Formats: sequence, structure tokens, C-alpha cells
Amino acid sequence: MLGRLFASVIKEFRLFMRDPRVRAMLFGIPVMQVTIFGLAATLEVRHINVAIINDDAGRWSREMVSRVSAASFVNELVYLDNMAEFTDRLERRKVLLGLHFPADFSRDVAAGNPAHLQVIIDGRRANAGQVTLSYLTAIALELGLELARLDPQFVEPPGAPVRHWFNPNLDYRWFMVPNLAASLSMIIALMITSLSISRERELGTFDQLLVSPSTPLEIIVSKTIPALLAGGLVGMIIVAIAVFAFGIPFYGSLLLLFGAMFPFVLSVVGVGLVISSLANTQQQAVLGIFLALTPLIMISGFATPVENMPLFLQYLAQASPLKHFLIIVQGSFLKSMPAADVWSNVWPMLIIAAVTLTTATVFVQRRLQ
Amino acid sequence: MKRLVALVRKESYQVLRDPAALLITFVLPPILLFLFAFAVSLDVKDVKVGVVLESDGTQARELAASFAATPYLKVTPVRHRNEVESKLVSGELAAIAVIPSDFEARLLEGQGGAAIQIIADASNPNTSTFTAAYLQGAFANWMSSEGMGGSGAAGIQLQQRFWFNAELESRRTLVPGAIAVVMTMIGTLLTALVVSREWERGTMEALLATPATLGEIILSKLLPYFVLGFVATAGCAFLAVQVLGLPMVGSFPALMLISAIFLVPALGQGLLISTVSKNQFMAAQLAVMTGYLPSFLLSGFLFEIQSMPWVIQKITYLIPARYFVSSLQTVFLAGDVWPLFLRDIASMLAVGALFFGITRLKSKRRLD
Repeated sequence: MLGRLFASVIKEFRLFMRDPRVRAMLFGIPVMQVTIFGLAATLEVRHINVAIINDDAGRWSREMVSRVSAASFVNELVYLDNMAEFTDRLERRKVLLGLHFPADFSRDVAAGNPAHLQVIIDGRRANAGQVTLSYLTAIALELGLELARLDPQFVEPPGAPVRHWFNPNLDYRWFMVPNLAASLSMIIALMITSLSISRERELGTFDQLLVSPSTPLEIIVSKTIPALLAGGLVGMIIVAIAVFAFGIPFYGSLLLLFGAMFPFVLSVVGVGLVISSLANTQQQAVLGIFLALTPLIMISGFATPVENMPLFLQYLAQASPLKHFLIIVQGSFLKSMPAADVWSNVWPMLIIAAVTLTTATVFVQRRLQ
Repeated sequence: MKRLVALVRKESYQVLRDPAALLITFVLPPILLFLFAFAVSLDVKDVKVGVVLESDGTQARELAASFAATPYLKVTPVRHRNEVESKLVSGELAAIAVIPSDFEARLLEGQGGAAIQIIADASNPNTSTFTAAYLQGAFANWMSSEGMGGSGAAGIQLQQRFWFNAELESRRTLVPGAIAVVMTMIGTLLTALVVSREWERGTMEALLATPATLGEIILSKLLPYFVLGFVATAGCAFLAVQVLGLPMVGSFPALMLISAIFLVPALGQGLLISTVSKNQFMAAQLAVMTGYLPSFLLSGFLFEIQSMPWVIQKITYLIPARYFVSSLQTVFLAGDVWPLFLRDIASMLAVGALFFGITRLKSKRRLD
């Protein structure tokens, strides 16, 4: 029986790896993807255009403008005469935001009164706008503090300095690239498995499989192993890219991470096999994958934290293998997560795998009868 | 002309018979829209923080109590920092605020020294920034309530205003993006799959052997998907405005015009993918990698395009969703800004012409 199983695993492998273009795509595209998306996906703001509407001829507005223009996030300052011009530029997305200095800005600063500076931001680009606002706030605070220090009466209050553990420079790539490693290997594993059963069914070879001495369990296992290895391999390649090409530190245990990768891919393969066993054609399978893939990624914490979601979605997120694996990947890269914490995220994936693989086997069995 | 009508009718029946296509058109859009409206949120709330109270002083205890009373903080009070440091690693806590044993002395010292220390889990840098700012804000509030907010110059106060999205709901910028993702799936993924299936099964050759021209065949294949995409957009727009509460500042005809134009490059891309790939597996992979994922990550609704490296910015010029997202956000939130629409429309048509042009070159060679 083991010999038979081995033979059908080999068959699946050959079927899959026969096409050189498929081979190239399987490994080439994830490498390309992680590079492009890893570079693209950042919430830091850079190279933006800022409009300046200055009704104040005094010294302090010029000081503030020169500090903004020296800041690293600015690409170009656009000096405008009035609000009508600004409205036009903002509507057409030529600038992200405008700084409007009122006529009495410098006078207020010199007199020690609160000086108001209007910041008008394009709400269509709310994320970038908020981040830029925090940069501007820091510049204004710094200038305000320097002004205050000119006053000999000034007593500076003690502060609350922040230390950012695990990622002291707040480099967004340290977050994004490990996430991409997990997500891309999930996409690959899902695609491979989803097409495996549905393709046989579409070509009519599935019936041949069913009349062969193989049991449903053997069919499922032989479909699982190649996808498991391919998904795992892609994951490992991307981890290597993250460390060697992106220079992201890896403090954890490589053994633990790779160990956890297999339950992860296994649970993903389970999801793929369920979809594949339900679909009659490859096309249905691919579309089914999409129906599943997008929610699986979106509620996993890939882009935004699970904690920000409404409660029922947080419960639903427990069913996404990616949610658990993301914690392990991030923990392994940056936090040197201990084995106990890894395990507490591995067992939910094992449950998902058990449920989905059993379901797939049952579906295949039903076909037999 | 008659031949074309007959062909279109045949293709339309084929699409309507296909449950998967209808699933993608009518079931996926609401799911995606709701996920974007509720699941993707950058607004941090209920931040789990550990407050380490190492001092027994009155003021220290008052500060700890004030942290616990802050509405958006969920505080775990402890006495020693090693009780909570491991919880930063496991992700159970987002940050720790340490009130040191010599807190009172540090307060008296002043001069910009450190009264308390905040340690934030920066494995997600974005959340970390927000969390730290919340804690610093809570500390500053307590300081000023104690009359220790600092004296002297009042400084520069920023008065922020967000135009087109005054309450800064991330939903308002994300839902238009979700529409672009849905339309990319219908336009690019569905088309790529359908046409590559024809090649895989050899039915394309059969069609080509009929008197119908290549142009007629292609047109008749694309038209049903054009209509599906159009229907899906209208449905999405209805959901967005009626259920999710998005404003519709611009006009409905403008929205439909932009959506129709977007379908040109989207369908073109699907056609191109089906022409270069031999089978459905390849087509699906290519559609994911060049259509679906870029519509998420490179279209500018999650990540700012101007902040990307130069090379990536140039790549985004080839992503039709980039122009679509820009125009969609504008028509929903800002109004009919025709100079912007016309620029985006011209760009989408140019990308579409490129895709169709390459397809034409490639398919000629296939026939030989």
C-alpha cells in the first residue's frame, strides 16, 4: 500500500513539474513579487508635494517653511497665492496637503501667543495624510520648544520617551516582507491544490483515479504532498530573500519557523482541496479560491491588525491559517519567539488542517459511491 | 454585423450558464466591500497595554489610575516589568508604560528628562506609532491636570482639516479601492480564464475556422464580461452609497463612464494573459500576479504611490487600477473634477491600447 502511495505521489510531482513554464512561474514569480511588493508596500510617506499659502510676511512662517522644506518626506514645495489655486491643485491630486499661514502668524509667535497654522489635507489619501500630519506635528513641536527655551522663565516638563522594541527605526519593510513570505506561499499552495482535483475532473481522468485501487485517503495524500513541498519551498525561498536581499534581521529559530511552516501549508492545502473537490471545472476552482483567498488574507492581520476589527471578525480570523502563521513569522524574524509561543499558534493550524483534510476526503469518498 | 450579434448571443448564454462567473459578479463584490468597510481599519482602538507601577508614591498611583481610566486603553496593571515583557513577545500586549521607583524625584527634576518610559511592540510599526502616541497623550493630559504641563511660550498649534473626508473614516477611501479590486477580478481574471480555456480545449481553433474574423470573435467574447463588469460596478456603487454610507459627491454618469473606460485595459489585460499562457493554471497565476495583487498593493489605495521607490512608481503606470482608484475616490468623495478624470481616462485608454496591441501581435503568430 505504501508503495502504491509513493507511486501516486511521484506521479503528481511529475504531472506538475512537467511544464517548464509552470516550473519557472512557481518559483520565479514569488521572487519577483516579494521584491516589488516588498519595496512598494510602505506606510512611511516620502516624495510628496506640499502647497504653501502664506498670508504672513513675517520671520516665523518663513522659518517653519524652511524646516518643512528640509524634511525628508517633501519632494516639492508649491507656493500659491490664494485658496482658489490651492483647491484646484488639491482636487487634481497635485499636492497632498497645504499649509496655510494666517496673516498674524509671526506676530502671535513673537508675542508668545498660540500661533495657528492651518493644515489642509486631501481626505482621499487619508493614510498618507495622517502620517504626514504626525511628521508636521513633530516639526511644529520642535520649533515651539526652541521658541519656549528663549524665555528664561521656562521650565521644561519631563517627558515620556518611547522605545520601539523589535524594530527601533520603525522600518515598515521589516513588517511587510515577512508577511509577504507567508501570504505568497499561501497563494501558491492554494493555487496548486485547487487545480489538482478539478483539473482531473475536467479532463475526465478523475474517474480513472476512482476506479484504481487507490483509496480516497491515498488520493488526498498524494495530492497533498507535492503542494506541501512546493508551498514550503516557496516560503523558505522568500524567507531567504527577506534576510539576504532585504537585510531583515532574523533573531528567532529557523528550525521553529520551518517546522511551523508545514502545519501552515498543510492547513492551506486542506482549504484548497475542499474547494477543488467541490468544483467541477478548473475555472470554478480558481474562482472559488478567490472567493476564499481574499477574506483569508484580509482578516489575517496582513495589512491591518486583527485587534482593530469588530469582535465577530476577530473570532472569524481564528479560522484563517494565515492569521496564526503571521504571528509566528513576525515573532520569528524580529522577536525571537520562544517555542511555547510558537506552539500556541501552531495547534490552531493543525485543527484547521484536520478539519479541511477530513472534509476533502469525505467529499472524494462521496464521489466514489 | 448579424454574425457578431449571433456570436455575442452565444457567448452571453455561455456566461449566464456558468455559476462561477455569476458568483464572482454578484457574491464576491458585497463580501469584499463589507470586508473593506469593517475588517481593514487603521484606526487603533482598545490598545492593550501593561502599566508597570514600580513606585509606591501617591502621584505614581494617580498616574497609573489615569492610564486605566483612559477610554481607548485596556490596561493590565503589574508591579514588575518582567511580568509583562514576555507578553510583548507573544503579542498579548501592544505596549508597556513603566512608572519607575523614583518617579516623584524625576517629576521634580523636570528639564525634559524622562519621567516614565514607554516600550512599544514595533513589529507592526504603524500600530506601534499610534500606541506610543496614545500613551504619550495620556501622560501629557495627566501632567497638565497636575499643573505640570510646562510654562512659557504657547508654541505653534496645527489646525488640521481633512477635505473630502472630514471625519477621516478609512472606509471612505478603502471602499472605492475595493471596487477597483472587484472590477479587476471580473475584467482581468475572468476573461483570462475563459479565453485560455478555449485555447486549452481547442475550441478557439474551431471558432477561428468559422467565417467569423478574429476581431469579431474577440469582441463577442469580451462584450458579456464588459456588461457583467458594468452591472457589478453599479451594484457596488449602490451598496457603497446606500449601505456603507459613502457620500456620492460626483455624478453617477461620471462614475459609469470611468468604470466603462476602466474595463478596456482590464479586459485587454485578461485577453493578453490568455494569449500568452497555454493553460488555465498559467493564466490564473498570471492574472493573480499581474492583475489581482497589483490592484491591491500598487493601485495607491492602501499604499501611497509617491512614497514608493522610483522604479516601482514607473511600474504602477502600467496598472490600470491605479488610474481607476484615483478617479473613483474623487467621484465618490470630491466631486466631478474633469481635469483629473480626463487625465485618468486618457491613461487608461493608452494602457488598454498597449495591451490590445500586444495581444494582436501575439495572436497573429499563434495562428501560423
